[in-house]
Amino acid sequence: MPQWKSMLNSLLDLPQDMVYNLPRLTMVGNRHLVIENYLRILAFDQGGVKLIVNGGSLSIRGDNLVLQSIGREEVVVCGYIKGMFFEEGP
Amino acid sequence: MNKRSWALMVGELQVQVKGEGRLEFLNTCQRSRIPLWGVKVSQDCISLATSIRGFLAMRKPARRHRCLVRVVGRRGFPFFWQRLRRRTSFALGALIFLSMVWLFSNFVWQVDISPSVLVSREQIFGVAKEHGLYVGAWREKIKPEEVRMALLLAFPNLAFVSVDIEGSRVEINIVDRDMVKIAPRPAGDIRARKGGLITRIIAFSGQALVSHNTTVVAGQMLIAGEVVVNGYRMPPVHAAGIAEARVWYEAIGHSSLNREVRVYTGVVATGNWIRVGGVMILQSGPGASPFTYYDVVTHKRIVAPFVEHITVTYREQDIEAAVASPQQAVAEAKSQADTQLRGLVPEEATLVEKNYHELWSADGQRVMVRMILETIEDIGDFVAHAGP
Repeated sequence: MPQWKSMLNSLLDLPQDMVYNLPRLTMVGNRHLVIENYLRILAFDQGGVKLIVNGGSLSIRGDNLVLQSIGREEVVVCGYIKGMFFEEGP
Repeated sequence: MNKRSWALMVGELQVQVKGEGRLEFLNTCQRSRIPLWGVKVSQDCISLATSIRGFLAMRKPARRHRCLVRVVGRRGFPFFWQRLRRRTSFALGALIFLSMVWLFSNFVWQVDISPSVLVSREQIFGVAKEHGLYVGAWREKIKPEEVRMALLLAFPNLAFVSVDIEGSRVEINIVDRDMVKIAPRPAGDIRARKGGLITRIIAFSGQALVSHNTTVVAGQMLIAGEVVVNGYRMPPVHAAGIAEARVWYEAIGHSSLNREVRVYTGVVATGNWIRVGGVMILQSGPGASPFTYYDVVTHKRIVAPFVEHITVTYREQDIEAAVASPQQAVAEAKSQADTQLRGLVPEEATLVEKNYHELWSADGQRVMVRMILETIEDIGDFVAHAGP
């Protein structure tokens, strides 16, 4: 991570998702998950969704998952979300 | 407007995507800014919804990723409109129906009038009709304020009128005016009820004949109902006004130092009576008091319906001479005088001064108290003129 970005962030107290281009996740209970700033969908079925995000991938596990909407920078996942985890890597 | 409503406005297509590269197809759609929603995955296909424009834009990515895109459902206004265009008669019928509903709802079908005692419904209808309000009138042409003013002008007995148009119904609310009936007042004068010194005289109607600081006697005319102006005698009126005067009251009380005091001897005699209806029957004891000086205590008890047991106890008294103090005697005399004055002074009178003088007899055994009370009160009484 470039040093100047870290300094700028600590100096101006900017949101990290803006400075580092990280995904922003908003979750409503375990029913609704909004992922902003994702790159593409790697895998998708009723039991899980895998998304490519900046700096790795984000896996979401659950039941009856539906992509409620797919936008250019935002995807909304609905269903029973059981868990999610990040994997670092290209 | 939320996304769902917007999708129904612009038209929504339910699409099934089959093929090996369906996930890549999704990503390409995302990059191409094709709106997708309701994405579900089944075994060999993806179901999703998109707009009409989005579906047309999907053809290129579908070819590229060798996917089969098939429309399985259509929803929204554009598709409804398309179906409607094919069924001209139905659309025309619906339009005519809506037009008729609109047309007929613009007529007045009912006019309700709140009940009135002073003005009949027919009279109200008549005036309202003259100003364009009647059953069958075109609603937009009715001017409620004009009708309201016309009703108020036509019927002075009405205190309030409101005209409210509620759909095809018009409600006219009216309130009758409460007419205050003034009782005829006879012509007459105000005369003094008692003597006194006038402190205030104000004639509301009629002519004041006395002035401030005039001494008047009972029966004297204070405000005359007959007014003379420049030598002309005006028709008599009902005299009214305020005639306040300073009035004095006098009362005398007597008392003496020597007096008789009754004391109980302790001897009692009891008579028992039974009263059945209105008949008294002596059961036991004396029927009358056996003592010269006595007092009586009666006790009644209901023993059955219409039957009472009455016990009459006579308590014997003896008379003994006693001597009261001069202060006691004066207080008694004052109390007597006070009691007399209480009956003479009217309640509305304002007390100004209260004086008393003691006068003892030559032997110093008897005292007389003369109490004088000064008040200010209205002494005027209306006296009607004798009839013609």
